[in-house]
Amino acid sequence: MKIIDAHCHIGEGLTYSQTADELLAQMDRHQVSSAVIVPADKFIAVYNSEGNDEVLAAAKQHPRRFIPFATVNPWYGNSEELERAFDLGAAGLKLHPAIQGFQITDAIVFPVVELAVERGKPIYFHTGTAVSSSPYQLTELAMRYPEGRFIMGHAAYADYWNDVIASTSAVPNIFIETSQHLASFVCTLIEQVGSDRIIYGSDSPKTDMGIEIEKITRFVNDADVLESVFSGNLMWILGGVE
Amino acid sequence: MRAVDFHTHLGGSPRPGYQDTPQNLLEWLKEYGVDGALISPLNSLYSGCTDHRPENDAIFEYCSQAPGRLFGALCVNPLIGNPALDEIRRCKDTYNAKVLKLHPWLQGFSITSQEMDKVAELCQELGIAILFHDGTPMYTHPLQCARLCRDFPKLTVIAGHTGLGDLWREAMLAAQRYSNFILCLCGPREAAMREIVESVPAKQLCVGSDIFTAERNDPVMWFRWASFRSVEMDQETRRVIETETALKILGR
Repeated sequence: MKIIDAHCHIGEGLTYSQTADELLAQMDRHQVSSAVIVPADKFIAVYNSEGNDEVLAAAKQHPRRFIPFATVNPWYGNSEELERAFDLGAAGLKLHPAIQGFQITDAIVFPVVELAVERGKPIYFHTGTAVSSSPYQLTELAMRYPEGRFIMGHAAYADYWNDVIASTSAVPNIFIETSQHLASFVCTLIEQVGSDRIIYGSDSPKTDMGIEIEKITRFVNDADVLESVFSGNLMWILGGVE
Repeated sequence: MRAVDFHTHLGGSPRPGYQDTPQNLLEWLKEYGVDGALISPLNSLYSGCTDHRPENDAIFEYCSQAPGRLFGALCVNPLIGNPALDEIRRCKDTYNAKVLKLHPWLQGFSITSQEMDKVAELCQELGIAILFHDGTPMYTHPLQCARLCRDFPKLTVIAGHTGLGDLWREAMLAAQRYSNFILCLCGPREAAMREIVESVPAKQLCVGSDIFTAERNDPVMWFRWASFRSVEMDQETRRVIETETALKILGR
């Protein structure tokens, strides 16, 4: 089974760190063929261009293993940085409302979202933190940009699980990423939302990649479902990028 | 005793073909290397419940069938006032209850309230620990729970989810400030647990799965215990966290 991890961090952050080589070792240990990489915490919040350069350089060095996503803090209004990162090969945009200090529905996020949508790039949102990043906030944004492709990071872990299925049911341009959440909830998502909208991610190094994989493979047996969740859906979102 | 699951609930949606009995629960726990459990209410955690006695009785009756292995936690809603205090006293007198489970979010009360303080004062007097659902803003911040440790220094307070995904650092700080604040590892993931285990004494840590006894939900049980056990630590620290902290709270 081909496994592409939809969400990993590299870089020396303030609260967690992981080098590209450490991530590659994790991936090799768990037969993960490639992974989306995003910068670590302080590079998401403040030092965007340095973080973007690091993931872009890692992807250039390991083009078959890493898929770089860029980040920009919308408060800087720096669509130029996002444009630069896309031009250098960034395959998507990662936004983290909680540590970048905005709410998903705030107008300051619209310019960078519009740029990503124009460039045909998917947008990964951290979700699950109260006030800044709820499921219904993401669905509101996704309805504003129906041509965009949005990823609901961490399936809104923890206590927004109530809202995830109801909020996304009528909004087909949102995909739900599994990292952090309970194994039982991932099973529920596959059953009720459908396997064509669920994407495996680990959030490494904050979780154990092996557990993130096994929490799905241990309880889901259907080969077609596993193929969709572990690689097919993400490849479609990325437009066929492997 | 190998390990105690400090966060379980009685009942839930019955799983077809599975009988929710103490013996079946023990067998299920055993499959995951767990020998005992603290069982909290489920139905009476919801705000519409004002008569907690039936479920409290059901829990202690259930646990009485596996003495020394299964332990009951009672529940009341602090908002109902004196009847809540009476029910706590009754469970202490009748069952020698050691733990009160509260869920401020579902039960719709504020921890920072006179009603809560009266319950905390009585629990301190009776030697009953309070196990909170925590980690869900705005009613269950770990520091809201830990404030009771400041005002009732002989009371043991347990954060049932260690702040979940967003507030575990707050939970960790609260445990460092108050030695009577216990963290039940049932929410933060591996990197967070690693940091917590390195920063908080093992005697202030325990483990829970949040299973519902009637559901035999293996994805929940496996996930929680596999996640905790993937965190490296020395054997003695693991023994204290998996077993000793829980047994001490339970008076064993």
